[in-house]
Amino acid sequence: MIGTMKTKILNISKDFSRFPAGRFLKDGSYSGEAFRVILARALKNNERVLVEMDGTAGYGSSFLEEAFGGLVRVEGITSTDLRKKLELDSEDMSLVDEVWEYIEMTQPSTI
Amino acid sequence: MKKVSWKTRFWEKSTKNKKQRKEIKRKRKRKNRAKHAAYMKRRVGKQRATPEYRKKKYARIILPKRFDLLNNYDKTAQCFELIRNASLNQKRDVRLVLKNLEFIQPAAMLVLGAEIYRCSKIHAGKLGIGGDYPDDQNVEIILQIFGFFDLIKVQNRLEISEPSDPIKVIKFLTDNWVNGRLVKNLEENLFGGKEKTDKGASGKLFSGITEAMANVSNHAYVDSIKSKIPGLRNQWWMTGAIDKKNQLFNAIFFDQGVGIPATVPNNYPSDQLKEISRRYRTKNADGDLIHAAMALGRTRTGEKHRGKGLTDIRELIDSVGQESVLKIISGKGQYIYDSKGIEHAEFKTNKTSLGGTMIEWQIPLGAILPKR
Repeated sequence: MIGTMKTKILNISKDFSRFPAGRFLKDGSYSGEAFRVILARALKNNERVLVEMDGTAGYGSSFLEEAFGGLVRVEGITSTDLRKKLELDSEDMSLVDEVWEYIEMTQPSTI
Repeated sequence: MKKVSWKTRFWEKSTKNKKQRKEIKRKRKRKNRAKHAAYMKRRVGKQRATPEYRKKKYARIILPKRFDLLNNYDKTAQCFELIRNASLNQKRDVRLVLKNLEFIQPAAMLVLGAEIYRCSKIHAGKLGIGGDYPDDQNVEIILQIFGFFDLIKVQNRLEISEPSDPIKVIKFLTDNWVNGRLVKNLEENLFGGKEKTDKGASGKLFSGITEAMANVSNHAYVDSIKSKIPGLRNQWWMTGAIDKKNQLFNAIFFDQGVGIPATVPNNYPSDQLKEISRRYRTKNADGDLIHAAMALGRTRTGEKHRGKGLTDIRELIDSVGQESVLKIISGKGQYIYDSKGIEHAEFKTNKTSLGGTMIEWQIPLGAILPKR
């Protein structure tokens, strides 16, 4: 339950693109990296973020890994924090499971 | 007495004998020939050559009766090599002879279109690829809808009101970045926009094709592997076809990158390559290397969070199941995968390189257009 906490709703198909694809910004305008920047900002400015994933043409693994796994690897947000702050909504539960798998499996990058 | 000019008198006085005079004449002729050739090269490069000059300098390439990468690979791939060689290496005009063409496979047509597209862009109108019309009207309809005659700058002759039969094709699509919108355009152009496609199959197709586009952007055009043929960086081409007789849907994707076999040996972990080589008894030929890449599923970057792209490419086949096939031709290698799995995949190495990577998804039409 989201309750009375300040929650930002991000609908990928309406707020980002119906055709999200590619990993890096150099791949295209609607890449995983582009969405990750938006999502990271939303997580920073809100207590919770709900990402609605339905309505797009589909998702490639490059997009999902960079958009969500990148939160841990690049943005430095731990998977524990993401479990508290991030909620995913989709009719396709396998898609939600896949995203959480990317988040859990990703190690923060050591620089 | 015969008058001798002062030039002849001077020439005879300054040389020792007839032999020396012959030698000097021969050297002079050779020097002039080289000078003339350099002058002609400069002239053709700077301005359009005269029709007479171009008539002598074009390469005539006759397409085989069956232009098919699956059933007539060698002769079909040879045509692509001849076009590249003539247009990009020798810098000659090319004339394609289509008269005898009886069958053209959509995948082969896409690769041909891509070669012509590249040559036209690189030469920017100075050298051209032209052609004639095929005798077979069905083939001409398919070529016209595909946009082939627009590419070779030849007039479309036929008034086409209905889609081609029994193979329905659409105009090719091309871009040089990851453009998911075009995947939707492919479906709309092929199915008319009115038919609702199956969400699952459509989603998997979108994911497979966009991953192929991302692979082009990140792996296909690699600076560390130099190609002798100039290319259009990050460019890819795509088309679709419906075989109404056999109720099959084909989506075809092609890029002119270095190819999967060229990147595998240098960029995948060597221990894993050895394991694949041992397990499948492979010999490092192109077909084996594609099989290794599909089996490994790891990326050339060696980073653990990357490399699922090749898995995405075959996901559509895995989810649809029966009668669905994934065909990859890259470099000289050929790889065919169906839903039975990696262990049952067929792969081989051909004599001639395709000059890029072609991926074809073939699934039953009912899997993407559910019955009403």
